[in-house]
Amino acid sequence: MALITRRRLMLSSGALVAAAAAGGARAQSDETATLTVQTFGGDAELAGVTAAVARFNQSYPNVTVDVSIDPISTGWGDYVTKVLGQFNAGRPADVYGTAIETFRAFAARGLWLPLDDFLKEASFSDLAPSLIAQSAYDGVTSYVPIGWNNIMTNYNRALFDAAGVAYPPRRGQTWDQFRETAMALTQRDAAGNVVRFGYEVPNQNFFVQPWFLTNGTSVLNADWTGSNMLDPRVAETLQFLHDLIHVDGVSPVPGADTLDNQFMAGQVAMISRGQWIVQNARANGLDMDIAAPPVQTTEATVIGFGGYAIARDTARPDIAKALVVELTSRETQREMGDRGGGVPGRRDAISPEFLAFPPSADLYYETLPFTIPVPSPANFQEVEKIFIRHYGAMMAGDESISDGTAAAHAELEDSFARLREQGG
Amino acid sequence: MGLAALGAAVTRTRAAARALDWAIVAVLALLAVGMLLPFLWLFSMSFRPVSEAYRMPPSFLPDSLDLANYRAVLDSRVPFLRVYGNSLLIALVVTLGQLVTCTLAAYAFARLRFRGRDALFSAFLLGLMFPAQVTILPIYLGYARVGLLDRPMGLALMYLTSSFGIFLVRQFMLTQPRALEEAALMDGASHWTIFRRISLPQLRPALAALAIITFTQTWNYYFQARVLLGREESMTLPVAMDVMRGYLASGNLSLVMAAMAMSLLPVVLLFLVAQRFVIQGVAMSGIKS
Amino acid sequence: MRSDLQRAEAMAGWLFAAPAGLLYASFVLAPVLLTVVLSFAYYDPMMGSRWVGLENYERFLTDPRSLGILWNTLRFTLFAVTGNVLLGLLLALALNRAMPSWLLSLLRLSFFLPVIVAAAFASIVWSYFLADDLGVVNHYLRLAGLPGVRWLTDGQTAMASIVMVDVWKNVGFFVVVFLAALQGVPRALVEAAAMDATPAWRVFLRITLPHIAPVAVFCVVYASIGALQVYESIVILTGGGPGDATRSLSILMVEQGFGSFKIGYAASISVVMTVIILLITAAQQWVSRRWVRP
Repeated sequence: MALITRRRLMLSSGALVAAAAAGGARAQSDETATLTVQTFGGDAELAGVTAAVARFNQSYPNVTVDVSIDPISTGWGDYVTKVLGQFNAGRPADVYGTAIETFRAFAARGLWLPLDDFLKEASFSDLAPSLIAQSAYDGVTSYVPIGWNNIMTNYNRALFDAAGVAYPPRRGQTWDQFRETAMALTQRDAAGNVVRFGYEVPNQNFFVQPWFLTNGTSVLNADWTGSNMLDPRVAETLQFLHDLIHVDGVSPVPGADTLDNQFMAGQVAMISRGQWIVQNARANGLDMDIAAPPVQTTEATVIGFGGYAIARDTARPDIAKALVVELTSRETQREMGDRGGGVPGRRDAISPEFLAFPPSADLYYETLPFTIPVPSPANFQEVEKIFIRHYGAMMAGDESISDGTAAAHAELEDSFARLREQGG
Repeated sequence: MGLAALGAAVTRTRAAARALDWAIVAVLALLAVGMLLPFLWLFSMSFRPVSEAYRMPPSFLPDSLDLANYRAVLDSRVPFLRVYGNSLLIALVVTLGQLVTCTLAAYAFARLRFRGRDALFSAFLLGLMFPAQVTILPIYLGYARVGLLDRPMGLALMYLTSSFGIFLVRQFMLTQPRALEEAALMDGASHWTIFRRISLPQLRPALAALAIITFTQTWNYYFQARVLLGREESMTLPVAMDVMRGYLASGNLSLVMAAMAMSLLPVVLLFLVAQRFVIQGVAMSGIKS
Repeated sequence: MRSDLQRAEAMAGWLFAAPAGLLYASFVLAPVLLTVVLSFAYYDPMMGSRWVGLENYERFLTDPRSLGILWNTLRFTLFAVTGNVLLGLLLALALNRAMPSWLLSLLRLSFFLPVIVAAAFASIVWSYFLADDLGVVNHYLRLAGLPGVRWLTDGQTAMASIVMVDVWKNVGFFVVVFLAALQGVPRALVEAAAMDATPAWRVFLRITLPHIAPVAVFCVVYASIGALQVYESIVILTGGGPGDATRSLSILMVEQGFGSFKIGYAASISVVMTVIILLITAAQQWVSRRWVRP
């Protein structure tokens, strides 16, 4: 960033004020229409979208916007089915909010309006370019990125203090150091039973990805067209996680539920989550901070993000685009970010409130350069299920690492073969 | 054996038998408490914050009746009252629908003679064997096409009649005396009049049982409701519980417990008030098959 | 020659049965037929549907994963039915004795309460009871000096756990049915046998059992149909895992149909489920006709 002289600062703030004043006097349109928005999220997204729609209605008072928000309580597969069901019935919404995992699954079916030209407009100039690049499929961009989430290690500072253990470094902790920290934080009672865990080995695809990435590998190959499960580094990662559970005893066996409630109650010291956990942590008054995931060979973490798309056959593409502009605006992103709706895709939507909690919140953006998107092939639902099934069995000790990776590899290759047959 | 010795022996066995009786009852009581433990835990958890949830030893009785969680449920992103209303509406409509359609059909099968009657009844019985999974796909696809998804009445429509209901009422009717009905028939009364004036009043116990069983079943539907009702405004309570559990079950557990406690209230009350009918109905379906 | 009266009766018969019949045809028969039709297709209106004949069934029968899941479902059904019916009978026998009526009501209520609660709710509570390390059951086990059990995270134990929760949920129903049946056994016979100092087990076998046999058959059939359809309990407790250890056909069907949007394949799975139900019911009817005196 160029050096900002005091004079330039005065000028630019003057310009900002003028722009804000001009923006306040929004152009009003008399257009009448009804638009439906189908998106996903929790309380933060609900509040953000509602506010965005209210602002949109200032410019378009005669346009009714109908919003439906899916909480994604059972994974993205069901959301894909829901959306496809809407298209199949000939009743799609006009604007869809969805996440990168589903981008290809939808784009491959030609559901969306191409947005390459739309994205060149000024209002999108401050979106991180890597996000826009990831929103393209087959050379066509169909999504306007919104917030994003990367996985960090969230830790309970109060528990660290009580145990007299130093906080993890912001970046660069090694796997072995992490293991030792987790062991130091695991508490046992007189009989040797664990009453507090140092870490939760994740039970979700998205949360466990950094462990592979920081070992320089991934579960799928680079262009997401086949399995990479036979890579010895994948097995190494799985073995490390397995040992955390069964040898070091710092984590429970991953089950059907996540351990967020236990983390909030102080019964797990560290978990791998994204920025969305801020909502709950603040509500529970948790003294929490974040650190970058521990590194074995490569500094990396996984990123997942959301985007808005417009249905190809929408009746009013112009109004839909105007709505998308509002839904992805600076204000909306800032509001959502503050409430834990993900890190804003626009750099300047980062507010002091966002940076206030957790204490190292600036780390989210600091790690952006070395994030790798979560593998999202067109058959994502199947891939995720296959992986989690074998991963769960391996973590439970029901399947050996070698058997599990071989079986997962075979099933994944099968699934990709079927995908190619269908022309996906 | 002398009479006195016989008397003593009999008394001893009777005493032993009574002791055994009491032992068995004691075991039953213990088991009964065990059956209820999950409910107690649910209830106790609904009055505690999440930080207390995993406190060991687990608590089965609430420390205080702090309604904070209950209030939070009403304030949460889930329109709880609306969802409650949906569940109530659907359960009532389905119960009413089944009372009407099943009783009418049962009358036909129990009292009337016509060609194809037994075949038709068997066809209905077949319905007892089809799991929800085999009928839901076409209904889902069909509803999607006509816009009946996300409509509570769509779910209600599916269950306006039931093979079980027809079976239950018919079995009961077969045990009822026909004398009055046959007399009325001799007098030239129409079947409709006979049904309305004579048969129906006799059916009260069966109808009560059917109503309560149907209400409870419909109240508890999860799979069908989840497939057909996606939007929060049209959800029923079991599906809303999924939403309350949050993104990958990370939601506030105490709120979920409070919401479940509130959801249990109608069916538990209904059962307590009318358990006689429920027991009768259940027993009837088992005995008379 | 059908008299006017008979014709009027036939008319009345069909009219009375019409509302139920129409609803039944629309919401049960038609969907079942459509599902059977769908099972022979690859259905995807956007990417192109086509007929695939027996391909879906072939896939089901040759995929070791789906066969394993089929086996799980059958095993679960066997265990759950045995547990529910046997325990229901035992508890009914235990309850079938002289005691104050308020006590009987209370006990019956306690056993029946789990029946009226939604399976989803019950499973949510049980998943906390059965958690490995912070769970209620293990806490008490460890207090008693026993090692904790990996109720839901070990492949073998997980199956036992879901059976246990299913029995907890449903046994009350069978207790009520059997209790009513037991109370229908003629007192005179039982007392006569008692006078002859017949041992209790003999009384049960020779007198009680034959009288309640039809009811027992009904219970087994009813329990089987229920067990084959269990869905939300398993999903909430174990998600079908670990791996596929507890996955049932109903879960596979939902996963394929609503998770992967493979409608045709999901339809074939639900047809297989129905065929199994029909086979089991038919087998039990045959057994009852041969061994049970009506």
